[in-house]
Amino acid sequence: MTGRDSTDSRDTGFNDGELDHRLASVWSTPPGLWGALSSVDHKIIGRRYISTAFVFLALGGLLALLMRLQLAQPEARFIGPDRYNQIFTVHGTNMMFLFAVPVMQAMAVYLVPLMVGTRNIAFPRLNAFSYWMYLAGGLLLWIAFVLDTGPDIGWFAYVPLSGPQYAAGKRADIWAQMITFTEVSALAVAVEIVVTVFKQRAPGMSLDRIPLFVWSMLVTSFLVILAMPAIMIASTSLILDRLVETHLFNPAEGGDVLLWQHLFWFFGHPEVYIIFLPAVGMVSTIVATFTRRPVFGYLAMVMALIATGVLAFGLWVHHMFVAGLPRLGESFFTASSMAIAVPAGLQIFCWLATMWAGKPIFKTPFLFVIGFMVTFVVGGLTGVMVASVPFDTQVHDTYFVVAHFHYVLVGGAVFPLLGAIYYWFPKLTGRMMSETVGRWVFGLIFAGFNLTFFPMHILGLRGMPRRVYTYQPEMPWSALNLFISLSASILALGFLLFFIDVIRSARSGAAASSNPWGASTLEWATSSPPPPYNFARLPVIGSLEALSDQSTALPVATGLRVDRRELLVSSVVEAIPEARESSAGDSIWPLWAALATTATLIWSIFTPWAVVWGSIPVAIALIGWFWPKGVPEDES
Amino acid sequence: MTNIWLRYTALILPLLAWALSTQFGQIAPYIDCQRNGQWTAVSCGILLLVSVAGVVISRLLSTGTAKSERFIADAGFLVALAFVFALSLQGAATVLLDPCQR
Repeated sequence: MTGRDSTDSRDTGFNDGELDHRLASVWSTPPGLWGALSSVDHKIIGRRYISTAFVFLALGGLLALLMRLQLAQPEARFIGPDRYNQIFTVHGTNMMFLFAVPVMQAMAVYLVPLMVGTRNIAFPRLNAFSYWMYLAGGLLLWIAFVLDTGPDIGWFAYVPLSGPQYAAGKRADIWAQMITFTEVSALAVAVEIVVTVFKQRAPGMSLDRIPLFVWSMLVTSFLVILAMPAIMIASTSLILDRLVETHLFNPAEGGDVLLWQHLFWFFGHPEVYIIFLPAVGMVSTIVATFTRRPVFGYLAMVMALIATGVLAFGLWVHHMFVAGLPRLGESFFTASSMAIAVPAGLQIFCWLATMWAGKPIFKTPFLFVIGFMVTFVVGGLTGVMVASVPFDTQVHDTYFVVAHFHYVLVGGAVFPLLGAIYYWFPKLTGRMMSETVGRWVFGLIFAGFNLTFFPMHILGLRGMPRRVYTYQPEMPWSALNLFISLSASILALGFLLFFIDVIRSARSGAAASSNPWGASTLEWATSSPPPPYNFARLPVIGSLEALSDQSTALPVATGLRVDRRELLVSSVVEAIPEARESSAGDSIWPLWAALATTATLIWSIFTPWAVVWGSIPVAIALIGWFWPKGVPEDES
Repeated sequence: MTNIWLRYTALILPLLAWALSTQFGQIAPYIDCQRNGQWTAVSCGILLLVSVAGVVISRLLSTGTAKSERFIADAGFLVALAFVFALSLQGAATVLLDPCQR
C-alpha cells in the first residue's frame, strides 16, 4: 500500500508501548456522560446491547412467572382476562423483539469485529443509532404495559383482532410502532455486520477461513435484511388501517385478512432462524474450543448455515395450515419443513463427530452446549410433527405448540447463549465467571426447563388451548398445570443464580488472561477486555484456526496511520488489502437522530401529521450527522 | 455467460427453482382444481430438472479452480442438494394430493 500523504504517521515507526499510547489516544471514548452518550466503540455498544437485552429477558421472565402463578390452579382470580392478554402479548413480543434477536445481534456487534481482526464495526455511528432506537422501542412497550396500555393482541397481532374494529384504543398501535423501532435497529445492525464481514476482514482471512460464528452472523444478517421489511410493511399497514382508515386488511372494502398472516409469517418463520443460526455459530465455537480440535466438516457446516437460511423463507405457510389454503399448496411447505431437517441434522452430526474425535473438557459453556443438543433435538422432532398438516390441525393453538416452540427457542438459542456468556465473559469483562456456580446454573436451568415445558406437550395433547387466562376444574389439566408452575420456580431460580453470578463476577471475579480457554479464534489474540483499538497491529491469517499454532507469534500487517481512526478494507473473497479507510469518530448526532425519530414514531400513533412535522427534526439530526468534515475517507 | 459464472449455477439455479416452485404451489392448485389440469406437477417437474441441471453443470466446471473459488463451488453443490431434495418432496406431493382438497 502507498499513502498519498507523506507527512502522516504510520504504525511502523513506533515501538509497542508508544504505539499503544498513540492508538489509545485516538480510539478511546472520552470519559463522562457526554462521552458515554456519543461513543461509537462497537465493544461499548455491544456490551450495552447485551446488558439491555438481558434486562428485558428478566422482565419477560417475570411475566412468565405471573402467568404460571395464574394457571397453577383452575379458576384462579389472581390476574383478570384483560391483564392476562397484555401479559402474554408483552411476554412474547418482549422475548422475540427485545431479547432474542437483539441479544444475538449484540453478541455479533461485540465479537464479529474482533473475530475478523478489525478495529471497529462498519458504520459505527449507525451502530450507536441502532442501540438508541432499540432502547426506545423497549421503553415504549414496557412503559405502555405499566400504564395498562400494553398490547393485548398476541405477539403476532392477527387482524381483524388487531384492526380498528376489534382493538379500540392505542394498544395495537403501541405493538405496531414498537415493531418499527426494533426492526430499524435490527436492519441497521445487519447491514453493519454484512459490510464488516465482507470488507473488513484481516488480510488472509479468505472465505474458507472465516470462523463459523462469523459465517452464522453473516447468514443471519441476510435473513434480517430480507425478512424484516415484511413485518415493517405489515405493521405500518396496520397503523394506516387504524389511523387513516385504509382498508388493507378489511375484506369488506377489498382488503385481505390473510395478507397479514402471509406478511407476518414471511418474517416470523425466518425469525426463528435469525435466533437459531447465531446459536449454531456459538455452539460451533464452544465445541471446537472444548474438544481441542477444529469442528468436523467446516464446509458442511457452512453449507448447512446457508441452506437453512434460504429454506427458512419457504416455511412460513406451515403456521397457516388451518387457514383454509389448498392442501397441495400447504404440502409444498411441509416438504420444505422436512428438507430443513437435513442441514439441521447435519450440524448436529458434525458437532457429535467433533466431540467423538476430540477430548471434551466439561466446563460450564460446554455443559450448556450439551443441554442445547438434547433440548433442541426434542424441539426439532416435535417440529417435524407439527410440519405435518394432519397433526398440526389437531394440535394447532394448544399447549403442544407452546412446548414445541419453547424447546426450539430456549433449547436452540438460550442454552447456547448462556454457554456463550460463560465462554466470552472473560473477553467482555476481563474476569472469569464461577465454574461452581455455573454448574449449578446449568443444572437448575436444564432440569427446570424440561420439567416446565415437557409436560406442556401432554397438556396440548389433552386439548388445553393456548392464551386462556383460566380453565375449569372439570378439565383434566389441573395437576399438570400445578406441576408446571412449581417446575417454573426451579427454572427461575437457575436464572436468578445466573444473574447473581454475572454481577458478582463482573465486580470481583478472578482475573482472566487474554486467552483463558486456549481458543483458536482471533478475538483471543488481544487482551481481555480488548483495548479501544482492538489490535495494536492487525493480524494476518494463515489458516482457519488463527491461533492454533501457539509456538509462533501471529504475523501482523503494518502501515496504518495512528493519528486518526483508520481501518483496513479488504477484498470479499480472498481478503486482500485494498485500501486504508477512516472510521467515524464519536458523535452525539446518532442519539439526537434516534430521539427525533422516536418522537416522530410515537407521535405518529396519534396523528398522521406527525410524519410531516417530525421529519424536520429528523432531517436536522441527519444533516448534523452527515455534515462534511473535509477529510478524505480512504486511501487506496 | 462464462464458465466462471456457470461454476456457481449450483448456488443459484436450485435455490431459484425451489423459490419458484414454492410460489407456483400457492397459485397452480387453484387452476388445476378449476380446469382439472396438472400445472402444479408439470411446473414442479420442470423446476426439479432445472435444479439438477444446475448442480451437474456446476460440478463439471468446478474442477481445477483456485482454493477459495473451489470452496464456494463445493458449498454451493452441497446447498443445492438440499434444494433438490426439497423439490423432490414437493414433486411427490403433487402426485399424492388432490389440488381441490382443502
